[in-house]
Amino acid sequence: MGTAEIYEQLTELFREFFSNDDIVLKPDTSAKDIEGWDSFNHLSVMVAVETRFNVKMKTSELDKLANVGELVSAIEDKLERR
Amino acid sequence: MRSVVFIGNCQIQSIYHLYQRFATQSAGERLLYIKSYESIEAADRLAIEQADVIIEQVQDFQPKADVAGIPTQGKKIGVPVVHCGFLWPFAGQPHPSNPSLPYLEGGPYGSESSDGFLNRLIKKGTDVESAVQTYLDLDINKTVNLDRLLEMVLEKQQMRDDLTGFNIANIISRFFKTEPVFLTPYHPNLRIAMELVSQTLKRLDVTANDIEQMRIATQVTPFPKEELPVHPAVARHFGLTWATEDRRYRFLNEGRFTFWEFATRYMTCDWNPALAEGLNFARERNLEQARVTLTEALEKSPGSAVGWGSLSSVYWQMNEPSQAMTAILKALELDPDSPNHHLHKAILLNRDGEEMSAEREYRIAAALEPFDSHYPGMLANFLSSKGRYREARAVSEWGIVCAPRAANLQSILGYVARQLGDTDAAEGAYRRAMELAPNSVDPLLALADLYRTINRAPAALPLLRKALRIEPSSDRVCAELAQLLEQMGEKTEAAHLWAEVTARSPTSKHHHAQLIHLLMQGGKTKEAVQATMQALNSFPSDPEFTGELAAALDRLGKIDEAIVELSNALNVHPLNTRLLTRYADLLMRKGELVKAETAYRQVISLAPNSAHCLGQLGHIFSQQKRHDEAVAARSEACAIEPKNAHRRVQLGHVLLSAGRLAEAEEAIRVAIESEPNFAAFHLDLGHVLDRAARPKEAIDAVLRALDLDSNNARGYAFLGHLFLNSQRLDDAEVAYRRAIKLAPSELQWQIQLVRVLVSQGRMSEAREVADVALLHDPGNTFLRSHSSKETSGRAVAG
Repeated sequence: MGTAEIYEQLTELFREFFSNDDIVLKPDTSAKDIEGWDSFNHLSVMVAVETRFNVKMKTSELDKLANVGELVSAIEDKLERR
Repeated sequence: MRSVVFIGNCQIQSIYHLYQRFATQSAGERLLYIKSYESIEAADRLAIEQADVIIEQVQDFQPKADVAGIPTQGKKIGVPVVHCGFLWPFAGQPHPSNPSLPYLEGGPYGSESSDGFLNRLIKKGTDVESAVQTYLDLDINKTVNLDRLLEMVLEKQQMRDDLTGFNIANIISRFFKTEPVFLTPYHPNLRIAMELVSQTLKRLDVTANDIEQMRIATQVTPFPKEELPVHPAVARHFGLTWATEDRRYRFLNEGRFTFWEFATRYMTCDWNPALAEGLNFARERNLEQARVTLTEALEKSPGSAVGWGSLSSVYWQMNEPSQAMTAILKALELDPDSPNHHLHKAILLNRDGEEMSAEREYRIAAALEPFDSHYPGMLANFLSSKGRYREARAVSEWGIVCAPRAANLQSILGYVARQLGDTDAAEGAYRRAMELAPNSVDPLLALADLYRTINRAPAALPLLRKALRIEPSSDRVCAELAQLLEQMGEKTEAAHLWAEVTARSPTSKHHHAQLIHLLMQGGKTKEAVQATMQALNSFPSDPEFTGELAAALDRLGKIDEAIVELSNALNVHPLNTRLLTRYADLLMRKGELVKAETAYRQVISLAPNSAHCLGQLGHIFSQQKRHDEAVAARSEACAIEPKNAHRRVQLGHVLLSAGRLAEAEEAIRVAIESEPNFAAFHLDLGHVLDRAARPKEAIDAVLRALDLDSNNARGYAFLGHLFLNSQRLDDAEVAYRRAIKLAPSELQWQIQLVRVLVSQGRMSEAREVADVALLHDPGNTFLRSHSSKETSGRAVAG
């Protein structure tokens, strides 16, 4: 799966999760740019990401993800290793 | 003095409150809570810089109040944030129509009470029924991998635990299937809350004993009690034994709802704003608005025990006890275990005089929540108010065992011990209350009052000064201190305090009266006039203050102004007998006997038993030679006050003026029998006996008076007169000299002494006396004729 497709699928997931069709994910998008993405539902979002891409991330990795670009890289990495 | 700063969300705030209540290390410890979800202020930054200990919440996301860059030497103690997101996989995004209200921060469907899945259906415009059904039919585990979410949540919790040394993840994992470990994602139940708080307090060096006390005393979670319903599919997936499909979850104060009911209401953002608003009106004591709004709200939410309880309280404050009772009974029907409702019912019953029933309710409330000192305190106060001090003491002591840091119970114990005469115990209890509540003035005032009543006023002074430092603008504290200072003779400072209080609260009549009284008593008549004028600004034409003003003006020699003030006040209060009496007294003193008589008669027509006015009328009549009327008036005064010796003597005076000497003697002897040690009565008797030409008896009477009052100049002068008339010239000389020594400016006595000395042929001494006396009255012919100047002139001329 290419980077563009990951962004596309991730955007769709975020729009559905946060009930906001205006969400456009970019590499530097972070939690503070998306209304509702906070500590409350961060783990639910990550589980939804894992389910969508059929990957599993270490919990310790989650803290190191500073933005969507790094999340996409992590997904790419998991997909490549599979 | 340690300074501890707590930074975090509502979980840290709860720890802060419990630490404050149960485990403050020392009375002077400074505590501060800073919300991590708001920007940090300059004062907070300073507090962090200067803190000895910083309780900092370890979160997954960087908080808004980022304190990492603030330099501080304080010891940092990390406390993990705790949450249970796996029970509510869609929580965290407020309802799209969630209102923002000043009296309900976060709205009814904020993050903690939200559902993202339903939010999506709302945004899609799905009808309510279909949406709820769709949600109920949803196989959540296919949408969100619940097991993975559980794993991730617990792993994250474990990571935070490891960072801080706490042990929370294990407890969540162990108990989440068998009990609701959280009521909403971030609001833990009692078990988790107590773990979190206990482990934090241990790191704050709180003793195991105090932590145990806190655990025993905290019977319900210190977090909000609202619950977010768990989706039945989530409950089934995890096998949650407590989250059955028919379980009803508490929503705000509106009652309890099943998951299906919650979802249906959520879809339309249905809630009861009137209830929240009505409760807020009640909190603000906006009683009428609260009554109307709560009544309307309870039609929609009849299952709201809190609503009925609040309405009952509103009715009670509006003095409608029967409505209040109806409402509290409904509240108790819905929530029979609420100590607050039982307490309120007790108060209502007590007011109705149903003491036994009230006591039962007070006892139920205290038994339901013995660790909240308010309830045992109310029971103890009830018993104390009935004079059952021993039982009140027992309840206070039991309450203190349950809540050892409750200052209110120590204060109550102090009060009841005092009533039982155990001042040592009272003092000890008040001192403990002072330690427990170092910023409260109540125990300081109570202990100061105790000291005052056991004649230890100096010990009370530092307490009241401390109270004034705590509450410098408190009229109550100022008044207490002023009264104590007055008692200790520090009248200047006392007057200053009273002046401060009256300036601050010019509508307090009592405070004005105290100030005026003190100034008058201290002889500060001009200041008293000013103070009275100020009082009259707030209370125009007030009879009491006008009377005080007249008295002060009179004392300053401004009798005409005093009469004008009284006359003006009488235009407003024509029937005020106190004003009329004072008015008549001044008229009489001014010599306006006709007007005075009219005024006294007016008082007597309004208050026929005014012995004072009858006595004064007697004086007027006597001066006008209307002796029979004078005797009649003063006889009537004696009949009204038969035990008043002074009235009897006054009767004696007018009888003497009337020449009815035997009756006068009898009246005065009756008075002397009643008050044998009153010197003036013996002098009066002397006058009567002198008039009756019984000089020996008169001399005996006057000598008795002087035995009782050896500084009575008039007495000595009268004695001199009696001796002179009896030709006992040596004795007369001694008596006159003694009188002149006590009152050197009394010219008449000096003239009499000259006469005595001349009668003895002691011309030189007579001249000496005359020379001195002439200094007081240089034009006096008699003295001039006996002075050395006059006699030497004559000698030269001769």
